[in-house]
Amino acid sequence: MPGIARLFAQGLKGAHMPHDDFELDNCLKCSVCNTACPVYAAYPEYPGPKHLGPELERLRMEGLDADTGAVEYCLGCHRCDLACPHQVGVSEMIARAKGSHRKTLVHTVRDWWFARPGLLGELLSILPSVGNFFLKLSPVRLMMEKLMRITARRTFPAYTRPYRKSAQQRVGERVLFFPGCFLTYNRPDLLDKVLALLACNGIAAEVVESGCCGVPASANGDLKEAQLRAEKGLAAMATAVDAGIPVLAACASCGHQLKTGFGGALAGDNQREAQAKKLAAQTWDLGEFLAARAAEGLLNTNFHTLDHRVAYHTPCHLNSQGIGRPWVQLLKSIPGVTVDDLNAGCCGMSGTYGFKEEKYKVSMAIGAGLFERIGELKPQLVATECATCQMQIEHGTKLRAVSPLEILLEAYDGRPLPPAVGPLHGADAP
Amino acid sequence: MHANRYDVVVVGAGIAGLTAASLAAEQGASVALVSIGAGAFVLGAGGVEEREVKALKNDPGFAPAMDFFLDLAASAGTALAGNLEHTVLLPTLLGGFQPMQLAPALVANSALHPFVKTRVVGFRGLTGFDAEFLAQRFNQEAEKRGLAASCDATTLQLPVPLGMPLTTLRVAQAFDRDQGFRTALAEALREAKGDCERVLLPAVLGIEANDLKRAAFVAQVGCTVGELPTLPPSIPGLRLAQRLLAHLRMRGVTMLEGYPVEQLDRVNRTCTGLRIASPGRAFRIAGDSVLLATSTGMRRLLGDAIQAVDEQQRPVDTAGKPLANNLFAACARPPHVSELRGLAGRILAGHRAAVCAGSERGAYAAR
Repeated sequence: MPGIARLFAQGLKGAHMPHDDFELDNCLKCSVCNTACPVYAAYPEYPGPKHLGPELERLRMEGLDADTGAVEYCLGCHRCDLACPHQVGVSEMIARAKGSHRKTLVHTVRDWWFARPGLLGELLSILPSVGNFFLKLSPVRLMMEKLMRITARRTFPAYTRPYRKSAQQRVGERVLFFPGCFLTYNRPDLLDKVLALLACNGIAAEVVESGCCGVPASANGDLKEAQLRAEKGLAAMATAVDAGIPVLAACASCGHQLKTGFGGALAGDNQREAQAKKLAAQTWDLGEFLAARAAEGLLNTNFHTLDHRVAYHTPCHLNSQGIGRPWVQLLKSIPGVTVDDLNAGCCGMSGTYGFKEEKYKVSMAIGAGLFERIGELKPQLVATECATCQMQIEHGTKLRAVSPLEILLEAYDGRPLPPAVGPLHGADAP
Repeated sequence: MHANRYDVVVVGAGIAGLTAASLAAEQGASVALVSIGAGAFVLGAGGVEEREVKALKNDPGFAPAMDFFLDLAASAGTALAGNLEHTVLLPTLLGGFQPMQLAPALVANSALHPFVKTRVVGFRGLTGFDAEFLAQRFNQEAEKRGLAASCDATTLQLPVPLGMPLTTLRVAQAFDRDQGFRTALAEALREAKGDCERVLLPAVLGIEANDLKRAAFVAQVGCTVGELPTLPPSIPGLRLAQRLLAHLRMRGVTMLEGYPVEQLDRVNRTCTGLRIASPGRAFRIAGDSVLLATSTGMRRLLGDAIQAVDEQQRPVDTAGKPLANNLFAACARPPHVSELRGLAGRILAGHRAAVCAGSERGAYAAR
């Protein structure tokens, strides 16, 4: 039934206005969300969060066809939510609309894979050297661009043998560590570093083996997969959650997802939602956890003196956790480390977003302000928690970007910082 | 290192909160600013009306507060022009003329002046800004007041297409981001101005851009440029908010944005901490002084029991005792107390609370 006719039919049955639209009525259309949206500023075709969120939501609520490809351009950065003076959950409305957006076949196939970085990781890490070799070949990348609409201008992060639980028993205070895909499949060395860092502070971390947190799934409009990831994650952490053990995440997006009860992926499943709420209350960002210990005088401050001029970039999903910038204070407490807080907005990568051929330009345009600011400051290296922010910064500035935890660990045990995630010095474009 | 303890915690990032946080930071305090979105002033022009000054000028705190704020705005790269003794008439979008004493520098440039040949320039596709109508109103008002001013209008095609519908926000963002756009726009305006001594534009000359960038642009245009604030989000108000926030963050103020304070913990007439409703679990912070720069938040957090504020700006209960000795009201409208109007009232409220908080605890310098 065409939308208007359906609305009319509904009207005859007695107009239906659900009462959970309270949030929607809070929207005064002041457009402050638009002022905070990185895509709105960088891409003139984008109608902005006010239109795609609360405005179209009124039509969607009534079952009218308000499908638009523009929702695909939402980064999921939550900046609109944070900017809204009336606490409207703008980005969640757009995320739901993404879930029901009808895509082309090619995009559907590509996004199916992008929604499943865990599966991709399992496959590519069977023979990582072969996978990495092929993914770096220009003809392969050009073919991926033509057939899969994955930009050839970026290189995939290298895959490696995934992290597997070691039999090594650690002693100390118990926490659970949620590694997420990137640490599991691309940087098990970084996962080791997290464990070493915690060990330096007398904490024994157990690693959760549940795969992806589900952010890539909802970002790619695959709400079923997001729900599956939430269920798997909950099951894997259930015992620890019941025992009240803190859960730590080093990836800002994983942390955001666990803290928001898997971003609404469990809506309607009351029992699991209650469990997710419990998990959320026990979840800590790694930096937040360490900063809280520092506040109580429990952080090991036996630091070597380093020599780093660091520029710090705040990932959007760290911003959205509402915990300030714990790493700025932590890094500043290391002797010989100076920290510049970049405050230059979103990097534009947003996980798989920046890899999509049709979004590459938008992604780089969003990051332009950040690249420019880094260029002005000329730091020795950039620190940011988020792996894809790191990729984007290295791609856009040709400077090395590391996780701040690596700098802290270097201050503890002199472990050198890693080489860049991707190739630097302009080698990234085929 | 105490991650979540601050000398001063300010709740609310409206003009009052920004003023209070700046003063505390300037006094050397460690400051956290907790906010949910921008204050209402981003919807406006970011100026001070004549009637606000009239209502407040006898308050002994007013002049120092305004001086402080003017310095602050200038060092944040968005200076205000005008003074508190002199009123100018600034045109509004709807054809009225508002008596103002202070306004963002380029907005102040749009004042009704005698002997200035002015051209109002609209942009094609930008609705809500009628250049013809504004020029007409300008001439009528000038004639009514016996001023020899003359004004005409023209409409310009923007040098780069900026999406549909075109909004002032889009133009301002392009101005911020794109040097090429700025140059092309300045060129187009230089051509459009003809023999006029002044052009009036909808306010679009950048949000993040500082006064230097705008001055360089104006130099390229080659005559006086005045901005007219448009419908919300109004660029001059937004600019003031963004520049002040960036300025505070650069000076080391910790920003906690996006989630409201859900509870104030009070023990024995001391505010011992604040709980911010962050996802998952409340994020707790504490401040030696806590400044509430939010009228709605104050009512929500303290209930309707507050009858007034005392001389130190502390909310007091029905018995006249402070609810907490380190809790200060920095909002323009504490319930049942006074009505501090407009931007000036909020500047005064924020400044006054920060001064009281600073003197209450002695000097921050000891830290």
